[in-house]
Amino acid sequence: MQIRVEDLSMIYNPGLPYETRALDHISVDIKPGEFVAIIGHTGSGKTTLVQQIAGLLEPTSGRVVAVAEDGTETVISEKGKASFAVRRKVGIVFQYPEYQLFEETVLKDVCFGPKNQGLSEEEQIERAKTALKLVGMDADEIGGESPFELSGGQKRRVAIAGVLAMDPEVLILDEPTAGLDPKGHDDILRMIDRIQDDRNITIILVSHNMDDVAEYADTVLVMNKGSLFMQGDPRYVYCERGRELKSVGLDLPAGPGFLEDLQDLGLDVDIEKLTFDETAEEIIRVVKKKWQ
Amino acid sequence: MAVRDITLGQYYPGESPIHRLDARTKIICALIYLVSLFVVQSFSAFGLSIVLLAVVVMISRVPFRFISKGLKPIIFLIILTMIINLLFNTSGTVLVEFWKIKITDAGVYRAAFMGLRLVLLIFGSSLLTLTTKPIELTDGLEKLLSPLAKIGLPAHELAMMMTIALRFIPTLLDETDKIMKAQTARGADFENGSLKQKAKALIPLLVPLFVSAFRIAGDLAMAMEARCYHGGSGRTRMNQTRFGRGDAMAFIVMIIYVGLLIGSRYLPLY
Repeated sequence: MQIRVEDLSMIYNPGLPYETRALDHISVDIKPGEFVAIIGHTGSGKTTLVQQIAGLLEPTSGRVVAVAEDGTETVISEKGKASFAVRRKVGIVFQYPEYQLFEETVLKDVCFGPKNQGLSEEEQIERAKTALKLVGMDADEIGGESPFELSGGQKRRVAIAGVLAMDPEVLILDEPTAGLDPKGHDDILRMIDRIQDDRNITIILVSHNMDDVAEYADTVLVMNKGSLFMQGDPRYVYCERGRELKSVGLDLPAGPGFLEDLQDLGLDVDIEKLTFDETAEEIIRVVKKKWQ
Repeated sequence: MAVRDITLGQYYPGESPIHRLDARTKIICALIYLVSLFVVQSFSAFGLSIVLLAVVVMISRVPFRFISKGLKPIIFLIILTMIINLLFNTSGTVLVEFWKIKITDAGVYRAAFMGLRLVLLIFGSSLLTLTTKPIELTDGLEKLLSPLAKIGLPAHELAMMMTIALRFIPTLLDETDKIMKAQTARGADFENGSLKQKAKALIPLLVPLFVSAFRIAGDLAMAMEARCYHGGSGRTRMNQTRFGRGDAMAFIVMIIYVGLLIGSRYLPLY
């Protein structure tokens, strides 16, 4: 399923003294199976955009459409309408998703989504067990426990499983690692990457962490003050147009950032490197050259 | 899903002389005004109340449509009051008569009178909350109630509770909005179904909301204790409230207004 965002705008409190333009004529295509990262400052419209892609928020103008493989189009959201049916093909994990847990047991909570989809009880449990396994948890071990007694990282996994259990074709994650320790952070990201490989679903990740984006994303959307500031693969965004990115106050990943600093010091450095390995090689090359 | 649209403590930011008045002055004046509306017995005296309100609104520079927004939730009550007065007042000369209902001139007079009184009540009290920050309002109340602390009324604690409650209304509304969206994304339906289904649908919303509320309350209590909060005794404040010339003017205006109103009762006005 392809997601097409067409000229989407969103204005909060129109006509009031505190009117804010959260989205300003955004158009973008998200291909099936793509790993898309959305970066930008707080208040740049990232969350508003993903909520409209999920069909949870009505836009002021423009629309979001889901295009199936056979070419049929279904409107997810447009003015006056936010769609229910497609909502189940697009799963969204909110910031701090552990605050949505409410059931007596972990298994029941993960079953909530499939139950609302109208599945039979066996299917619900089947789905829940698979989803818990995907997030690296054992349903037999913790399925019967209260979700409120788990640790923070575990709660978050259960909450993500609750969305995965609905078997979405597009999975949106709004800063899924906020407030986790470095290990929990890495675990969640690796898990997302693995889920994408296993299921071949589209991932839309809202993130502040440029290193994660550089490592995992196929496409990066850069939001600035409600507009789509830049769009392209990580190499294009971080290497070719890194300085523009910095001009709107966003950081570069550690590698390109360091190489740019070296260049600013007057060294002859090729800054078009993205990963840690490439960066390391470039540093070695520069140091060797200096020595000779 | 219009949780965000609910406005409470609808402060309209401004720099007018009315905004700058001491909160205590505004509370007392608003109270006097509200009581005065029940003393009034003639339309011409109401004219005086309307003029006073109009002048204050003009000075405050709050757009009229913001003030009239306060009427929306209560409009049904006003219409009901007017209809009851219209239909069931049997004194005076009969204007229209059908079936068992007589509409009399006294009834029409009474209905218009009650409607006007209610509208003025709403306008007067919303003007107070529109021009006073919630925090100033509770500070003012605390000061006004503080003499009663001598007879054991916990004035500071009451004001603190109100401040905290007001402070957390937007936070909890935001939280509600977030949880509602998260559960909707999991297929929860808050809008359709029978009453019983709707009540049941609230569980996935209420449980996380209560958990959040307790968590926030716990965090706040801890943060207050960490900053050595120990109740009201001996506490000074950052913004000392002081009565100024504007406050004196306000009181003089109110005294003249009340004087005129009382005077009007002894005049043969309609």
